[in-house]
Amino acid sequence: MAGRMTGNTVAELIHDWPDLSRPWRDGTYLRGRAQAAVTSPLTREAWKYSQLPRFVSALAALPTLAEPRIEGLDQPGVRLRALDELDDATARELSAHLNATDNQRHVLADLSLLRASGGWLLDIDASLPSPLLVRYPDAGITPLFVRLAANVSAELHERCDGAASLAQITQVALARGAQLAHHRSALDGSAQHWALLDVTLADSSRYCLELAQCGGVQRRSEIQVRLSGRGAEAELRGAYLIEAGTHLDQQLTVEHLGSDGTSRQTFHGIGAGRGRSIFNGRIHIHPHAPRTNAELSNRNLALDSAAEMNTKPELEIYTDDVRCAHGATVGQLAQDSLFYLASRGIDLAAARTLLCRGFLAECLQGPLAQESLQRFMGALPQ
Amino acid sequence: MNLLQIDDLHVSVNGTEILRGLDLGIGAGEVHAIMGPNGSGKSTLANVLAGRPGYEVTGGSIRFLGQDLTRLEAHERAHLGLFLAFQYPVEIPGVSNMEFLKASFDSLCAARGEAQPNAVAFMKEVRALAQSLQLNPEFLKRGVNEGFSGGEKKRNEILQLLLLKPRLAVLDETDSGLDIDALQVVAQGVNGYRNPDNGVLLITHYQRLLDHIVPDVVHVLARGRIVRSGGKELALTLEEKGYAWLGA
Repeated sequence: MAGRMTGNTVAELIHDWPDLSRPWRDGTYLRGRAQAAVTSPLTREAWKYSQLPRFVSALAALPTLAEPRIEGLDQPGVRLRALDELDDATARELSAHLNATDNQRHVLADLSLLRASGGWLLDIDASLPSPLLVRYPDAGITPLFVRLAANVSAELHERCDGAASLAQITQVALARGAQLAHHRSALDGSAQHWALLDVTLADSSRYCLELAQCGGVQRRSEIQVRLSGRGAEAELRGAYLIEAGTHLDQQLTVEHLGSDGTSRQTFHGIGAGRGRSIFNGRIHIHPHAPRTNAELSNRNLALDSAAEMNTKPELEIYTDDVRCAHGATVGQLAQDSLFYLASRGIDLAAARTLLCRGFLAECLQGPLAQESLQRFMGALPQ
Repeated sequence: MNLLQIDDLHVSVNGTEILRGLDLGIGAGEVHAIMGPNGSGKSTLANVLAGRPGYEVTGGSIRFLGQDLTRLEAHERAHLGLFLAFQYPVEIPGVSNMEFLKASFDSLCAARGEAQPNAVAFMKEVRALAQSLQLNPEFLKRGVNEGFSGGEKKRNEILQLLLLKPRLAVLDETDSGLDIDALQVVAQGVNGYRNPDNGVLLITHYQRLLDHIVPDVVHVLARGRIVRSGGKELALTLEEKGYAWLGA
């Protein structure tokens, strides 16, 4: 009943939103399916712990476009274009891509795109010697499409570190043999932040994500990775921390659509205060994806007894010939480890810090790791 | 004064008495071996010395360097110079071995009011120790004991022993799970640590370790008490006759 009321509330909220179409966005289509989705059971389930109406209201108040600042654009093979300046064929391609999003699980993506008055397309056609660094502004909707050409390798850093009020849409498409190392941090505890990261992998491409996040006033991170091609590889790692009064909702889906794909998800989180963490990790192996190897591990440390850590792995497997492993835990620091460190002279406070840092560092080793870990460690209870 | 003096020690775990009036004294420069059948209380002794939670001293006393050990936290015992080489060293992924060793060494320096060594000199020393124990220095970059074989874990314990230079080393079945080569490396490490100022308590099931680390005194622990003490030849007798002739 509550779910239906939520759906109706959202339907009312979006009732008078205009559905302007652009060549890259079929507004009428997006609006129609969003309206249908908001009352669907799947949307209700996907928003069980976060308040969709609250996110929709926040979205309605945002500037309809916020321009990210991108460093590293001067490298050969990099091209950034505003969506409104695209040629018709490219724009139609993007529109078709958007229409293929799993809108039942990502209803806010359709609504954000409907509100957005523009966006950017970043094409990477040559391997990059230096990373591209994207910094997001404090408020607004930021649609960013990233395409890597065949056999190109690149590194992308995204930082949403301010007290951001953001609706962030990042769509990444990797062509055959392309490789992307993607590092993202979102660390401000006062953020009102919703993000969709939608990644598509063609044959033999490889995608690696390292994600560092703190809970925000409201923060929700939706990640969808589609291994469409044969022999694609995705490695998703994340470390997160919730402090008192913060909320972090992570919804991950890995879709194995092609054969011989490999995916590994490893997420470690710490509950450091009376806040709420939701981790929903889903692996979906489609009928034509034999010899898939998929793993999902989510471990949580509840350092504060008032921290609420929810975790749910979900498997849907429609092929016989697969290897699939998953595990989810919520626990405390291991007494054996604490004693081992104590026996070497390390006092309890220092031992806890060392273990917490190590626990998060297992998922964070990239260029943003040091800064993120420092932020996390500063939030631990003394 | 002995380094370690245990008198009439009674220890319970989960309400069950395991040590029942144990007496033991270890002087500076001495190596003592404790042998005994399964369940006799050998590991309980090691754990209660190191201060593992859950081991309750219900009677008797433990004095280490003149101090009442039972009143100290585990880390304070380490600061005082007590070291336990674990039977099952703990794996700590995410904390590199080097980071762990530095944290440990720094905490001991701080407790003793000594200056912390500079990081470069420290790492050099640790790498040299690793090499002397035939441990690949790459291990220092990995998580503490993470993915180490049984022998590598034990060598890593000895590395810590040599680095931290405690006054008393308690080695809890350090020989278990070691092949002959690893056993010799570990024994060389322990022999290198021995000096007139410190002491060693070896807890072992087997006589073979004592071929390489020759003890001054061998004790037999049975049903929570020392039932026989003697010279190194006692170990040979035990090897030959088992524990039954002692009524153990």
